[in-house]
Amino acid sequence: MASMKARRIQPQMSSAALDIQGLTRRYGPLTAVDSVDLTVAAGQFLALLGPSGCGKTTLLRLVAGFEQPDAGLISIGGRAVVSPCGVGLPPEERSIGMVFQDYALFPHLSVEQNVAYGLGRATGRAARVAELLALVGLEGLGRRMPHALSGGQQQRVALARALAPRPALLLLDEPFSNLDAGLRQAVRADVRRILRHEQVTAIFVTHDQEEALSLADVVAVMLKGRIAQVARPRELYERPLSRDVGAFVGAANFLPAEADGFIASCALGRLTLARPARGAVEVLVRPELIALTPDPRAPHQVTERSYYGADQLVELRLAGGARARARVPAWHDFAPGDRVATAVHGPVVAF
Amino acid sequence: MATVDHRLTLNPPATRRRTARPWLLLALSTLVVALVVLPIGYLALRAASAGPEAWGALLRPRTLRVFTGSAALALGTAALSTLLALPVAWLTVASDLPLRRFWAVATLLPLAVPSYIFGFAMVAVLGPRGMLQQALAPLGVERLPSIYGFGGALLTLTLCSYPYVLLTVRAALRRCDPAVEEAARSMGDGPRAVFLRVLLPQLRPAIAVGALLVALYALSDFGVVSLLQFDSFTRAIYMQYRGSFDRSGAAVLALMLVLLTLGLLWLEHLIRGRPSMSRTTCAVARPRRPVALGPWRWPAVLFCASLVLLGVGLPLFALSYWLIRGLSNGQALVSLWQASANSLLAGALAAALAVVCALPIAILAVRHPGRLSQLLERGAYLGYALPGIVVALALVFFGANVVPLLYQTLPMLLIGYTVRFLPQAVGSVRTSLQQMNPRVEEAARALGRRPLSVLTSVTTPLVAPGLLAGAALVFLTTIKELPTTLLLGPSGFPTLATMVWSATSEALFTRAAAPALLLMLLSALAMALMVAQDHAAEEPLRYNGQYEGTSHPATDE
Repeated sequence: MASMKARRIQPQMSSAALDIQGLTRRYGPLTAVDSVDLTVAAGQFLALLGPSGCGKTTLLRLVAGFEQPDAGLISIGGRAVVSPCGVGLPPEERSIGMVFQDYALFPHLSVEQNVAYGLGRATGRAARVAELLALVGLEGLGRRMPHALSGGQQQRVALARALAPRPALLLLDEPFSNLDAGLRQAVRADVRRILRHEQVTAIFVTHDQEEALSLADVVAVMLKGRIAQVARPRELYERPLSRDVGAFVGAANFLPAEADGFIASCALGRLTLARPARGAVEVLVRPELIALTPDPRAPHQVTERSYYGADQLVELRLAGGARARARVPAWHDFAPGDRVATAVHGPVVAF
Repeated sequence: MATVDHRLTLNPPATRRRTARPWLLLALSTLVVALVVLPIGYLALRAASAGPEAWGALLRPRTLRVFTGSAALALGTAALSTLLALPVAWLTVASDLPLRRFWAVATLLPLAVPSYIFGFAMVAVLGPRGMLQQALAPLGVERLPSIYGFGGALLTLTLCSYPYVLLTVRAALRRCDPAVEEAARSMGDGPRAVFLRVLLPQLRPAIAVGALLVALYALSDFGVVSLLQFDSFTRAIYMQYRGSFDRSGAAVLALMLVLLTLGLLWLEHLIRGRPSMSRTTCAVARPRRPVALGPWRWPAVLFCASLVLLGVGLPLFALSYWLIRGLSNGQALVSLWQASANSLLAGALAAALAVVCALPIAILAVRHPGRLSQLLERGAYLGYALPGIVVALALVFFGANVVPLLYQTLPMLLIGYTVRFLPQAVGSVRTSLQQMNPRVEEAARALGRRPLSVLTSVTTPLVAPGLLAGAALVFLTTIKELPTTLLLGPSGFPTLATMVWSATSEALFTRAAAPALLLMLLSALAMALMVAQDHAAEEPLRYNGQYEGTSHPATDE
């Protein structure tokens, strides 16, 4: 019976580069990964986003085979690597590439030797190494030792090394967290270009929501060991499925409201809802959706203002006493005590 | 319906999957630890099955004398060492002693002198035909008061082993927060009262541990007591073993010594394990302001200087004197080449064997921590913790009765060295494994390499410096080792250590001088290596910072 079912699942899986079902990993009383289901389509770049301690790195290491699950299935490229009978393939047989948070370059091997390490004695080995070094922009540095490279260069060697054997799935664990802020922007763009060029399916783990939204095709939000939502960045930001996801991804104002179909009434007025709701709800209003105009007769009052140069964050006490934040362009100087009128652009979501 | 069915099979019960056990490592480690534990167990078995007359020997007055003599020697050495080390520790940490740093290092140097070389120096200077007697001969002095026996052994062992108390007390003194003493001063205590009421109580655990280490050293030492002819356990065991056909008597004595040693080790464990009287303030303590010695400065310097003179100067002086006399007689280098070659050969082979045996244990301890790996690692330390003569005797019994083919051969000697010094190799390999980023091994696995291939292509090259350091340490310690070589060496296989020992026993000082000097140099090298390794062992702290992703790689793009 079981084998027949397994065969029936097979064709379903073949289109997905990664398919995870019911994956669970416990550490004593703590459930780090709690019956996770996740599918990644071939060629997709998926961000696994969550606060620290949510289990995202454990999930990545389960996929890689460095940890063994308590329950669940994993298949990579249509091939079961953790099968229903509980046997897990060792990491070296999973056809994965992994970029570690601290890069984990082989300190005793040169850049070339690091990149060639996974290629075995395949023909065309030297050509592949040269191709990758060119792709990551490290031509001419092949003879260098890892310690003679900067952080950004080490990162690119780690990427080239993981890509060299053409893995079915690339896993990146907080790949940008060891780079300083200035470098991070440039490296992110580079990495996306390189992954597109290699047409590889990739998952990267991050706690930085801006990084996830700007880089990934699809973002999976992980909270307390469970996948809370999987969506394209824009949908995730604008239409979070739960209050927790909305609060974690980006800044949020939650205001009590009365909903009736696609309309909700709250302290900011009558707002359009993206999804219909009814009765007493909370609406999520992103700070940048609120526009402010100075108006001495308006009911809302500025309590605090932080100036950021490009924009400013204005804290408000609304008519009913609720508090909210608005992120508005810096062309008008708001000061505590100012009276302001508000307008909300675009639909909001209610929970 | 079908999908519901799927779920049921896809979420199987939670208990069945666990990480695979590293069977190969476990098997290899168990084999090595068995090599250590079996002979010692066999010794216990032999002693237990010894005839009533062997156990009856326990009640003989001579045995009682050995027991009380050993106990007195151990206690006396511990007490005398504490009396010497305590003021030195205070002077080098808390006072304005001139050349404080120099004395801090120089007073530790006796650690680098093997005990039987101390024994040689004592006999060669103060013995019946020693330097002092010869210098005084023109004045008509024919005999000096004998240095053989309890007094000589006590003095010599104290000079060898007081640095152990010095090390522990000094470390504790550095941990004491001077603010606590200042608080006592502010409440009206004078300097003397502060020392007695505040500082000394804080140092008590450290003093106890140091004194216990010294007692263990005195109890297990063979070189000094055999050369100074004091009947403690180790000498009595050796005499019994050499002197009679029935070796069960030696086994019984050895078992008693083991029990005594284990008792002291347990006591030490208890003291160390107790919640320490460490600092209660959370802030980092201000550095201690040195106490001004005033007029006591020069007596203090004199005290340190005489200690260094006795502990380092005396052996060096004796060695040089007899070496030069021997050279001028043209007999100093007799058979030195043969002994050196033997020592080098045995040392190098033992080093290689010990490192090979240490690898699985160290990998298991670092990469697969757990109760079983801990047990195996502890087991590997057994041969190191017990007196050398006991381990050697155990292997003699085991070899003679279980594997007679190996008895009195070079392989048996090598096994003996490995059983004794395995922990040194395990320690170095362990340290370098801990310093290595485990992600690097995972990266190799992710790139498609099997575990064995990862071991040879990544792990081994990265821990090579640790392997070499461990091998060097075992090599140097092996060359110094006396009792194991004496008991397990093939007949007609003189080494540097046995040469010094036998020449000194026969008062042939010119013959002992050259190998002794060579051994002292090697042993100083071993100590330097150990110090360097202790520094390396603190490195993982630095590495962790980077691992947590808190620091950025140093170079710029």
